[in-house]
Amino acid sequence: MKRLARYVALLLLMLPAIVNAQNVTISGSVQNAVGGEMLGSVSVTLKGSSNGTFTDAKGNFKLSVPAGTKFPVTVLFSSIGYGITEIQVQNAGEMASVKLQPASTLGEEVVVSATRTPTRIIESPVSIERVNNAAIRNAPAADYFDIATNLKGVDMVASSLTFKTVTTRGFAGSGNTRFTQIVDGMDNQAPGLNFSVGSIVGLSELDVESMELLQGASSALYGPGGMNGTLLINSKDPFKYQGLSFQMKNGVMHTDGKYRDPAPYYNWDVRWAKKVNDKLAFKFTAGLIQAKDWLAADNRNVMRSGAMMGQIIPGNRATDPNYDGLNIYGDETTLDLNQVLNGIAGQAPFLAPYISTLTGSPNPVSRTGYSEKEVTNPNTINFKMGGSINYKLTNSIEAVLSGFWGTGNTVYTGSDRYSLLDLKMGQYKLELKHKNWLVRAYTTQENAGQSYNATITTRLFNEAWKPSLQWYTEYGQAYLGGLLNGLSTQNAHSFARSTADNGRPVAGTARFQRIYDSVRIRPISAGGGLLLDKTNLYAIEGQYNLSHLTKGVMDVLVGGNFRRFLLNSQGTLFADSTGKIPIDEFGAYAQASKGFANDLIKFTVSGRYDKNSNFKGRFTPRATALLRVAKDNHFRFSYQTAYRFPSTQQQYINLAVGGATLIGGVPKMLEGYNFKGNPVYSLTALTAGQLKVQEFDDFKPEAVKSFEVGYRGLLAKSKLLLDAYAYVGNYQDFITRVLVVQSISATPNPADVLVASKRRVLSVPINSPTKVKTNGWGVSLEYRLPKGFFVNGNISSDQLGDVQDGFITYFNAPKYRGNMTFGNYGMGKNKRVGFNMVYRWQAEFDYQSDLANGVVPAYQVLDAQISYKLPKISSVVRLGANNLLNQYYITALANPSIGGLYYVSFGYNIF
Amino acid sequence: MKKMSNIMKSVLPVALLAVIGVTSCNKNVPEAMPIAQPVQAGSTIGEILNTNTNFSILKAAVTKAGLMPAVSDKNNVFTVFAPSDAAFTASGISLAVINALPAASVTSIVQYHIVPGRKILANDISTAFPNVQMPTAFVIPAPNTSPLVRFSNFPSRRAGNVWVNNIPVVTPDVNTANGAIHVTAAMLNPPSRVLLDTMARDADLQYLVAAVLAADAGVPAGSKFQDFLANPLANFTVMAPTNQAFMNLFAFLGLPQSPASFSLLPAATVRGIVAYHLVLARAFAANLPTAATPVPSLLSASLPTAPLLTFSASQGVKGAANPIYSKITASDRHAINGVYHKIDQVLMPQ
Repeated sequence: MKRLARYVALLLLMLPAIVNAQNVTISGSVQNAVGGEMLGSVSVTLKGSSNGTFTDAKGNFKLSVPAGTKFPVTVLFSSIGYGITEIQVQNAGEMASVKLQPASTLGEEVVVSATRTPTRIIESPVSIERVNNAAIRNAPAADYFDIATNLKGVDMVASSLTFKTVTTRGFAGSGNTRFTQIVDGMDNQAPGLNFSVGSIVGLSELDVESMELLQGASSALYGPGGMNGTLLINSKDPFKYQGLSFQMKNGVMHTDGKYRDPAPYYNWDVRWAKKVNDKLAFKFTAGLIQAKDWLAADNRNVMRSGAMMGQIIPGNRATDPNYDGLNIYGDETTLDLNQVLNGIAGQAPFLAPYISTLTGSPNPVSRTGYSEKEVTNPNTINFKMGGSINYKLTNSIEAVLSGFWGTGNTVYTGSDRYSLLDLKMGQYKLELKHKNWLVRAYTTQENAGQSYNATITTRLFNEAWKPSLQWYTEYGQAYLGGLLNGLSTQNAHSFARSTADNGRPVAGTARFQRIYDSVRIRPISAGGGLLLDKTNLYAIEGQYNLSHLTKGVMDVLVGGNFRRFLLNSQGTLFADSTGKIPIDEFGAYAQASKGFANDLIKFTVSGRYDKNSNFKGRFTPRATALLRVAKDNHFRFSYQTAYRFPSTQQQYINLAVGGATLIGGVPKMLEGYNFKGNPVYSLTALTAGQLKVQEFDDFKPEAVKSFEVGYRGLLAKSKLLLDAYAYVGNYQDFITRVLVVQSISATPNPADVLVASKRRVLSVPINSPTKVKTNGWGVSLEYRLPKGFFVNGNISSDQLGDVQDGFITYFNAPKYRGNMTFGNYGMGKNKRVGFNMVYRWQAEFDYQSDLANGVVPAYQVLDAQISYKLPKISSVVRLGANNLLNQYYITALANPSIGGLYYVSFGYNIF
Repeated sequence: MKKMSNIMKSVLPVALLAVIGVTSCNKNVPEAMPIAQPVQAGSTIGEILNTNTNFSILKAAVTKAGLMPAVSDKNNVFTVFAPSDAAFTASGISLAVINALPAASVTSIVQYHIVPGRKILANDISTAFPNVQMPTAFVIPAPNTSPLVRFSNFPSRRAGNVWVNNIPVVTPDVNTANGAIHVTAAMLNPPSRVLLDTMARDADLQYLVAAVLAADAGVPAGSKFQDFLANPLANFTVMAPTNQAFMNLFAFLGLPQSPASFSLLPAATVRGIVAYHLVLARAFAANLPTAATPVPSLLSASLPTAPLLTFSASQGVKGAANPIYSKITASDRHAINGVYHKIDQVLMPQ
């Protein structure tokens, strides 16, 4: 932030120099021909020149015209949702007053991300979806990020109210590393925690100009990652979107009191943008969300060992001594009670024959856990700030200095549940852009704040209150005592638990909090639950469009980038206790496209080469063809490859969770654990009675080859936009994990790995030799009805090909899902009333994660909003509901049940 | 209006679809499923005692001991060795005796018949020599403080017959909703004295007791035979040569036939002889192997190469250096920490 302030000061000093007057201006105003309100952000350009400006928030504009221009001139007005209007201006002094007619713009939208050059969406050679600002301001979603779920092929995992992860083409999860989110050109994956933070640190809703979603492999242009898709969120240009805007959504959640007591929801946003003059503009945005979070309260029992690992099994605390509830923490600690019982038998031989009747098979017993409600902070807060200073160095070169910063409390589901407390993340960027090129440098600064692993913390809390050695001894003696008093096995377990749990701190008491906090604030490396992650990313990238040089032959685009990750967790997450670990990546790409037969068919070929300091270089090509079968009707074909380098955690993590230590898979990690000198043995083989040394091949990036056909066309007199796609994907070198055991003796001996106390269990990432095939399709319709009504619908499907039994793919996608939207942006007298209803449904599916595997039931959600415009004060009031019917649903196992959220909002100058 | 109806035509199907959709409900996250406990069919032990007229004395005893609620509770599990009325009578116990006895005595007697917390069926009982030691509901009284320290009884199985201590089970495996009942041929009398005390009171074992004292000479407290034989938690079988057996030995050795003669022998020899007569398990006569079987004595515990004893149910017991078997002249003298059988020879390891 300090650095940012310095730049601001510098720019302010330059102000007098950059204010230079144009000698001729045309001024005027623009209003809606139907509603009568003044229209801001309307593009105003001088026909036949590159001179242009935008109307301000009050609909006024001043267009500079080069000296010596001959009048009359033609001025073009355009804005999304309105027809293009031309007027003739006779002389410079004339006030140009224009009324724009609302018009259908189906298929007219321009997307940039499909080819990194502006393209009409209908001519995009790959599958793409766009959400424009009109859709965002009219969506019922309380948080704009949710709108993505209404696009076809999109799955969302909601780990909490503010922590949402979108995915396409399957493999959904919290913190999906196969799907990239890019905000204003910056990859917003938290570099150390490996999840995209779009819903936490991204743009404030008022600053979102558009979202573009590329379904499917998109590494060829956006680099490693994005194997399954890329979401690009673009902010509003302060030159175009000016003035003060604010929006206050006040709502209520948990209305039925099922998981929590009814609680308010606040979501406030403000944006202020000012065009100082034709060269300088700036903006500032801030947003605050505050609520009581949705609660993850799945108390089903999870199997934590053996072939059934991760499966949901019968049993609750009262009936399974080894109960491990999904959203109950601390009960992951387990011990075979036979160890204690045999100890007693050793000391009391007269009980040994009796005890031997109890120890015929293992007697695993878990410690008593605490529910998520008891150990995580219910207050979810998300505060974000952002801003930019845009300065036009010349008529064609613009410099942008921008930054986003966010902080908050939320909950995240990884291999455990994490309470992200005071998480802070900032992204800062300096960019120079020209019509033909751009250069940008940015950094992502991550700070885990007081974030802690709720699972580990609660387990250690139990140890801090009563060490397991003592607890299990008390339990074992009480269990035996209970039996000797005639109790049945189950009752003896209950009696033993209540005995060992005697004096157990009650959640919510000062004593509980004192012990809990003492563990929570101690770093993981020092035997606590705190993450100290301050990993940063530094990136620089550039792109040059050579098309103006190669005009007439073909369009050519080249670019390149360099990234450096600097892992810094002080040994709490990565193996970086001795110092920061750098990881470098660089890449370069080129794209050429050429149309034939008057653009009847257009071929685009792109390729990209990337190298990571830990991995061999990879080349990924993409070839697309766009076939025009009629005006505004295109078929598209694409073959894409994509891959991702293992995440920073898959490279360097060093974290003890549960019974195993997760370690990274790069050679340095394997060397650090001396795999050569002290061989590791497969735990699976060991369980089957074999002592087998686990061999490790080179750890490689994961790759996918994807082929896709699609069609997009305007039908029914341009009132119907139809889009459809079908794809197949072939994945190889899938990154998975393998459990191995290694001796911890000073002088290792293979026999050590048979003894629990002489070995450690390591979880090491490897590439699976199994190839995984996926396929799917999607169809969407957008139909414009008379009187401004519209209806949109889509249905999509993703399926996993055959895999061998027991192979965990984490595919995590419903076979079918669909959305239906019905709405009107302006109806009734003076078109002041708007409404929008979205119905979403998805089929049940098997969800697999490191935490648990099981069925996510089918669910449906109905969102709705109704709004009323107050044109005189440029405002709109809205009544909205997310999950109107308050039918709870989960998006993934161990994640919260999401209920209804009802709000009223007031927005001023929302564009 | 025409336009409006057109709109309605388009809108209606959509609205209908939505209505159809939303009338079904999202599934809530299922609650954790309790593991179904097998429903225990049939009567409880208490109910059987209350209704079976063959158990009227036991019923009175259990009631007097205050244990009827416990054995009637389906949440409990017990294995009860249950003397029938005939068995009590055979043991000299009538209803009147039960009524006359102090409640504490009745309670100890009843508790001694019960193995709590486990349902042990005949097939669960080992056929290995000599038997299995099972804790009973009878807690060893003060100075013991641990509720885990119990009087033990000793179920065994031989050739399809079940025994507990030296008492035959006449009807095993009466299944109940809260455990098992094994009907016994006699009452199990809980022992009240430790071996050392019991043997000291046996006029026929004065030489043996003298041998123990002689063997302990110079041995630090805590490691003496007396300590072990007086420890209620120990578990021994003592093959106890009678006074006559020792007198025969002294005569053979040319020593005076008096308990004092042990002091004329080297202490180590006496210790060896005593240890050779102790077995670290409680073998009742019913548990003795039918075929001659080598069994380690306590001597083997300190000297792994020590010669073994040989047991035979029909012939008795033989020391390695004895030319013939010693006959068991009196068996199953039961104490808290073991049992002794009187034999007519001193067993000689070498």
